[in-house]
Amino acid sequence: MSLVFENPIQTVLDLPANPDLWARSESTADAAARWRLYLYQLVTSALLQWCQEERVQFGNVQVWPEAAPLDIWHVVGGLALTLGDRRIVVILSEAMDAAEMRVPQEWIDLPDWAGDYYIAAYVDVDDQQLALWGYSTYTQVKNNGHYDAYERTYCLGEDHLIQDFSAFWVALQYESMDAVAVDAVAVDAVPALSPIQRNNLLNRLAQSVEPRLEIPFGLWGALLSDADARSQLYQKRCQKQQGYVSTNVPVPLSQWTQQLLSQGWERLESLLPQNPAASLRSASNSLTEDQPTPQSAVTGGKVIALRRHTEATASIEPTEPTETVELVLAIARTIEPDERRNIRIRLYPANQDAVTGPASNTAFEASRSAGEFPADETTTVESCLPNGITLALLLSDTEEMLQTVQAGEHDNYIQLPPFRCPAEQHFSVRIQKADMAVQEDFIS
Amino acid sequence: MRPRTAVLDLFSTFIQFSDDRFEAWIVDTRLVRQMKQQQARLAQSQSGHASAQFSEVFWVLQWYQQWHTKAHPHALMHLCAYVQEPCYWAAEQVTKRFVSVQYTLADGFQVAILRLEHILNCYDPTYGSSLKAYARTAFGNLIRNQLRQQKAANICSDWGLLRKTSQLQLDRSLRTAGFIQTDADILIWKCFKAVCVPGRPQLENRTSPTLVPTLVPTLVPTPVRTLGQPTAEQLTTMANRFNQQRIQLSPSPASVTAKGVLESLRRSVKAVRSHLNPQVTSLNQPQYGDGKECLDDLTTENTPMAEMLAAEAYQEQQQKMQAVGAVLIDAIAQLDPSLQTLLRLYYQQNLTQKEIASQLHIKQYQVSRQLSRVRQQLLRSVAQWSQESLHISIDSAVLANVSAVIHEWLQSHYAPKAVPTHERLQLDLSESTP
Repeated sequence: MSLVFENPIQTVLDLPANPDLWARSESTADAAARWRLYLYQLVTSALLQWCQEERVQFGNVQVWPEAAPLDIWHVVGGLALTLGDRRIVVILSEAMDAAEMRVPQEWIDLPDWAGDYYIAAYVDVDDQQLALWGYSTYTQVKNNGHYDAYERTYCLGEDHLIQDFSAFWVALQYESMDAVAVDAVAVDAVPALSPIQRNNLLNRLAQSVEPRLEIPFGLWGALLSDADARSQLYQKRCQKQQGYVSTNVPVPLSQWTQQLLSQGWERLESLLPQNPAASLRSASNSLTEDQPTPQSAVTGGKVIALRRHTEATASIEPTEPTETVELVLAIARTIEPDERRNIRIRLYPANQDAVTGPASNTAFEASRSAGEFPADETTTVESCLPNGITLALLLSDTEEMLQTVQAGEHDNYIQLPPFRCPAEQHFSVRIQKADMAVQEDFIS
Repeated sequence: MRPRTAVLDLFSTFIQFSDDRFEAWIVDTRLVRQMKQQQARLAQSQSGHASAQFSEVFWVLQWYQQWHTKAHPHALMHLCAYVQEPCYWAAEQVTKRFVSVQYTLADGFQVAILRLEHILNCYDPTYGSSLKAYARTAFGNLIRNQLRQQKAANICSDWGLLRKTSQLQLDRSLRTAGFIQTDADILIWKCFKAVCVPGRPQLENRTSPTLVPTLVPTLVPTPVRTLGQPTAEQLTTMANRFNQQRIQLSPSPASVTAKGVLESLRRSVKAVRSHLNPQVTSLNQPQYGDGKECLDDLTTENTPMAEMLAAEAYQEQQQKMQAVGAVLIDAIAQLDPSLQTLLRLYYQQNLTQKEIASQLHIKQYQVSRQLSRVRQQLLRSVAQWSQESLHISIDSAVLANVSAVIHEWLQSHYAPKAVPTHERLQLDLSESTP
C-alpha cells in the first residue's frame, strides 16, 4: 500500500511503470545503466506532464539539451528542464529519507549547464510515485551547499531546501532572474580541448569505473559540454561494457516505409551504389508472385564499423583504434497478408569501388521500387568480407543465439536464412570478428 | 493533556509521559529563574511596554531572537518548553492515523521534539508566522515522514533498504551505531548502489530453436523493496570497484575482499534499521538540564536594546499579520465557490485529503492538486500585495515564509470562532483528566 505525503505543500506525481520502455532496454547488458536510464525516462514524462498541467504561461517545457539525453544520464545524475527562460535541474534520488539533495558539480559549475532552480525528487518506483520534496536556487546551492570534493557534489541539507511547491511556481513568476543568475558569472571558463586531447580522454574514460571522477573537473567539463564527445563516450562505454555496441533503442522495422527509415539507416542503394541491383528474390520465394506493394516491403542498410583498440595495460595513454572494418548491414522486411513479418538479413563489405553503367541503373531502379537487396550474381567488382566474420541472429531478451553464418575466404556477402515472425517481435543481429562485435536491435 | 496558560509555565515546563500518556508538567527550575530575571528586567527597563511581559507572543519572539543571534545559551530550552503542546498534538494526531506502524504517541513526540532546531531554522517570524502554529505543522510533517519511512523500511529487504537510504542517513546511522570512520563503509555502499539494481525476474531458459511466435511478455523491473542479496559475482565486482576507488579517499582505507564487502553492507543495514526505530531512551527529564545552577547564566544578560527591538518587531509583526489577513479575505472571496468549499473541508472540518476526495467524489491526487493551486493563488495575491505596498523584493525564501503564514492564517481563519481562545483552553482542561 502506498502512503501519500499528507503535507499539502509537497508535490507527489504519478509515476506509472512503463513495461514497453523497460522491454526496449532489454538488450542493455549493463544492468545498472539500464536501471538508471529507465528511471530517468520514467521521471521525464511525469515531470513534463506536471509542468504542462501547472503552468502554461511559461511557454514550452522541454528537456535540456534534447528530448532524452541518455549520453548525459548514463554518467551524470540530474535532469534539466527548460521552462520558458528558466532552467530547472531535477536531482533524482531513490532515498526515501529526504535528508539531503546532492547536486553533481556539473549542474552548478559548467556555465552552459547551470540551472536557476534545483528540485530534489524521491523516485519511488515500487509505489509508482515521484515526490518532489524540496527545491532551492542556484545561489543557495552554491553558497550554502557543502561541497563534497571526493564525489564532486554540492550537498544541501533539508534545512536549506524550501519544501513548499506553491512557492516554487509563484517564484518562477516573481523572483527576478538577475538575483538568480548573478553568480553564474563566477563560473570558471571551461578549457577548449584539441581533437587529439579529446580523443585520448574519451578512450581513457571509456575504461573508467567512474568517468566523472577520473579526470580533473575542468577537462571533464570541457568534454561534457561537447555534444559530440558526449555521445561518443556513451557509445564507447557501451562498447566497453558489453563487448559490442548496442544502440539501446531497437529499430522499429514496422515503421519503415519506402520514404522513411529509422535514424542511422539509409536506402541500401545509396550505401552500395556499385552493386548492380537486381533482386534477391529467387524463384523458390513465394513472395515474387505476390508483387508486394512498396509499403509492405522495404529495405534499409546501415554502415557498421568494427573497431579494435589495443588494450592499454601498461600505459594510461589511450590509443587510437588499431583496426577498423567497415561493413554494411542490410535488412529487408515484408509484411505478409496475415500481418506476419518476413525478414531477410545480409552483411556486405563496405568501401567497394563504384561501378557505373546503364544496365546497373535500370536494375537499381527496379530493386528500389520493390524494396529488395541488390542481386549477388551480377556483382562486377570483387570485394570480399573479412574471412571468419560472423553474422548472428539472437533473441533480444535472453540473448539466445538462433542462427549464425560465417564468411569464408571469398564471400562478397553472407546472409541469414530468411525467417518469419509475428509483429512486435524483439530480435537482435550481432556482427563479430574475433573480439570485435557490434549489435543492432530490432522490433519486427 | 492539560494545556498551560501562564507565561512563566509556557517557557519553563516540560511534558512528562507515563505509559504513553501525558502525566504531568515538570518544572525546570533553572528556566523558571531565567524567565523571572528577564521579566523583572523588562518591567524596569521599559515601562511603556509593561504589558508585554505577560504576552506569550512577545516572549516567543524574544527567545526566538535570542536563539537566532545565539545571544542566550538557554534560548533553545525555553523554546523547547514552549512548543511542548504543538508537538504533543501533532504526535497525537499523526500516530492515531498511522495504526499500522508500532509507534506510540510518546515515540512520535520524542522524534519530533529532537528536531526542534531544524524547525527553528526553517521558521521565520518576519511575516507574522506564529511559532506554535508553524511548529505544529512542521512537527506533524516530521512525524509523518518518520512513520512513512519506517513503514516502508519494514517491508523492505535489507538490500532494498540500502538502495532507499541516503548517504547522509547512512552516515548518521553508522555514527549513531558507534562507528567513527564511516568513509570505507560509505564507499562500499556506493559500489553496491552502482552494481546491484532491480532487474528482470529470473526466467526459465527458453529452449525454442526458432523465434517464438508469441510476444515476449512485457515485464517491469522487480520492486526495489524485494532486492535480493548480491551474488558472489556482484560482490567481487563491488570489491574491485572499491579497491580502485579507495585510493582517492584520505586516509585511504584498506582494500577489501568480496567477503569484506558483504560484511560491511550487513553492518550498514543493521545501523540503518536501528536508526529508524525509535530509541528507547526516555526523553522525559534528562535532556532538559537537571536544575543545576549555572553561574554563566548570570553573565549572559540581555541588553535593554535587544529587548526594545523585540518589542518593536512584535508590534510590526502584528500589524503586518492584520494586513495580510485583509488581503487573504479578499482573495478567498474571489475564489471559485468549489475551491472555497475545499478550503472549508480541509481547514475547518480538518478532513484528510482522502476524506475530502470521497466527499467530493474526486481522486485524492486531485484534492492535493487543487489545494496546492488554491495555496498558489492566495500566495500570488499576497506576493503581489507585498511587492506593491511594502516594496519587498520577492524571492523563494520570502515566498516560502509567506506561504507558511497563509497556511497558519487559514487554520485560524476557519477555526470555530464562537469560543474565545482562553475559554477554549479551559474547555480542553476540563475534558482531559490525566
